[in-house]
Amino acid sequence: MAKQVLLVDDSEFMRNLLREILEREFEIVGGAENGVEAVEMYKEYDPDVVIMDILLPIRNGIEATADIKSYDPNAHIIMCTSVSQEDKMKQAVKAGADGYITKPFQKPSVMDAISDVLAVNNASNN
Amino acid sequence: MDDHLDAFVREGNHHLTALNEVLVELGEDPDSEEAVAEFFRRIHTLKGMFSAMGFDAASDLAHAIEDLVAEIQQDDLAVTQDRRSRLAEGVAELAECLVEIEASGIIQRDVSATITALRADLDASDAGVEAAVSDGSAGVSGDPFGIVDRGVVERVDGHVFHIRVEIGESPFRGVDGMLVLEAATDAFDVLGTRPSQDAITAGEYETEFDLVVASKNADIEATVQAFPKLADATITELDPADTTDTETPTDLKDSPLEAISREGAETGDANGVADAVGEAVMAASDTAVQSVTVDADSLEELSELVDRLFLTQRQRENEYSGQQGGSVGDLGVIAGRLQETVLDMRLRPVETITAEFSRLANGLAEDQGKDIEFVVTGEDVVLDYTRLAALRGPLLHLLRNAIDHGIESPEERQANGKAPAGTVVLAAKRDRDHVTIEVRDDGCGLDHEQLRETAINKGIKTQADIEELSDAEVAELIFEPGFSTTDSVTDLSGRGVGLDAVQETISDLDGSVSVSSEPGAGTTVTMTFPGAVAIQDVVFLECGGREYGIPSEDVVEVSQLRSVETIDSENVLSDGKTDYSLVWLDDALNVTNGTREDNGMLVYIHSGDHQIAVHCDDIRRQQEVLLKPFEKEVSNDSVFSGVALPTDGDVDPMLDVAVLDS
Repeated sequence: MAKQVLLVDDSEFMRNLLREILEREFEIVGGAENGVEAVEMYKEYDPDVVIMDILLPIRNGIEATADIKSYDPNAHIIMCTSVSQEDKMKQAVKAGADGYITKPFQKPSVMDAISDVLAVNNASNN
Repeated sequence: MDDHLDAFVREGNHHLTALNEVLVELGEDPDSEEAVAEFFRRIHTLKGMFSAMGFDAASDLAHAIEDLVAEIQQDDLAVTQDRRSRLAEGVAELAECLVEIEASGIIQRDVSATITALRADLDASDAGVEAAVSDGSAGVSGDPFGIVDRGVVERVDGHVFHIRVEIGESPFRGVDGMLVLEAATDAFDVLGTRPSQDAITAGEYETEFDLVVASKNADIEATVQAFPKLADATITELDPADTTDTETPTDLKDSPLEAISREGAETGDANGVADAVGEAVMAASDTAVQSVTVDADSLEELSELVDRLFLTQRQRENEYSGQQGGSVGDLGVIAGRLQETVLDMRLRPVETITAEFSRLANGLAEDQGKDIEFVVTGEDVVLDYTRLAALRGPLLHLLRNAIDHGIESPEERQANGKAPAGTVVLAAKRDRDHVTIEVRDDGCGLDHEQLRETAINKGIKTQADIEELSDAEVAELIFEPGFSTTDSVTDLSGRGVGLDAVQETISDLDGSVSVSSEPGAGTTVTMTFPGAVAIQDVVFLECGGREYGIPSEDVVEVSQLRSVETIDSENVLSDGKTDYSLVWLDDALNVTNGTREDNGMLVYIHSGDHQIAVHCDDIRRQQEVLLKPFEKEVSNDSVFSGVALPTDGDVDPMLDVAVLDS
């Protein structure tokens, strides 16, 4: 069964772009526009992977990551960031992020990031 | 074997030179633990090398030296004058051995006296050493890379592994390091790392770092391979117990690496020996030179060859597609990385040329009786070195101009309500796929009326032409050949080099230059250059059965063609925030397609000042490709800016957004 992905980005365009890239191989359970919605939707759908923009309104991606991880320590969260945001990305890792993709992103890097975090999952389950 | 012998002698000499340097250091600071550690590491490597090549006499000598150094290290044996000369004699003797090996391939001299002298010193030293050695906790590296003490490795209940982690090309080395460390900490007991965990987290490693971990499991391959961000990993199990069975107690400190070398030597396996020597060399390379100077011509040739390799590979990939995808695909990845590496090698920070500007600018201001504050920002922005070298002259010229003509005297500035000290800024900035460099001053600005007069007087423009031009357009006239803003040739800006020369240089570098100025407030000259990246991510659009490329970075949004009603009479689309002019690609390209009003895709593009929505039949794909610009003459009014060379071997034109918008 296709793995489920939750997309979190305040830009509809970015959500759509990710959706286009991913929908052939994954089931997109939904798109959240801010950090609060992200946590709510995570609780509702329990997706396998969350792709989360680092800059979000209301509660930013780092805070939302911490929220989700405290709710489910096994959550897989991939941050969506730009190359100038290494410091923010480090904070995100401290908050529990499992990987990242950099904008502008390309399909292979998004796929790699997802298989990367899912591989960790598989290895620890085996 | 001759090649191996050459490499062996070269490496041997390298270590001996370093050993002599360390001996000098120890003469200056006999307590330097670092120097002793380096001495130990190198002599240990040499011992392994001699042994691997079957030069037992030299190996025994190196062994004796190593033992003495080990005792210095473990038991805080003082590096006395005497002891140091004994070590120096040993090293000199090894050098003689190497000379003989190079000359005849064998060692003829008798090194036993030197060994005896070293051993005598060893025997005379503290008896406690024996105990330390026999209980196996000698404190010498228990792993071939010297990351964790033997004692630590031995105390582990379970398996100990050395993992060399390789991280590929990455925007975030620090983050990647954090992720790997986190995964390693989750899965294993991390005993040590090199460099330190802090350094790994800060991204302070080249492409690899080392971990020594303990695990209950004998096979950690799958777990390690699942680490995030890993390009590759080499796992070696460390097992100190292995050597105790076959070696004398003093050989406890022998590493698995050396055990491998021995094996190679004993079986006469040439490859084994070569590999072992190679590994020994690699293990010793961590203090190697970090940067080298390369002849510019060689670099140019390398760049050219790599570009050609890359293109040839692309064609190959196309020819063989579906047949031997695997190896050809790998070759493509390698060729791509090779090209990126060479591109990176060419990049130098702006700082390289601006470092001296501060002194020059302040000197110029002083000569002129002016007060300035000179500021450089974005020194770390990188440009191709050829471009940087060519930019030095134009930038200096612009700085001189700013100080000479722009900045007023302190008195004049105060009279106009300005701070007495003027500001001159050189700002470099990476902006999307462009690099801009600005030279900005807060001086008097350009006198547009004066410029108009000069243009007419010098016959550059007619009275009628001039009246058509806005102030902004008049300002750009300063780049016209033969134009000069002052009548007198001053010491500073004259020198026969006008702004037209600056303009010419910039456009030779594929750049453009513009000026903006506000009377009384200052002047800004902006230079824009295409980025250094020749490989770009490109979105391919289809129109009339052909594909055309647009840089992905410029693509803001992609959507189905919206209903006709939302398009107003001027063919402008809006997404609520921004207006996009609609461009029918079939019209622009003079081709026919069948998807007009009711069908097709819209690509919203934002490039520089241009915001357009391009209508096309379909979006094909997004891919990293090699771009080749057209020569300037061709592209002037063409709707194409260059060609994209995607992996399918096609040559697809790249659309020029600026021309599409006009």
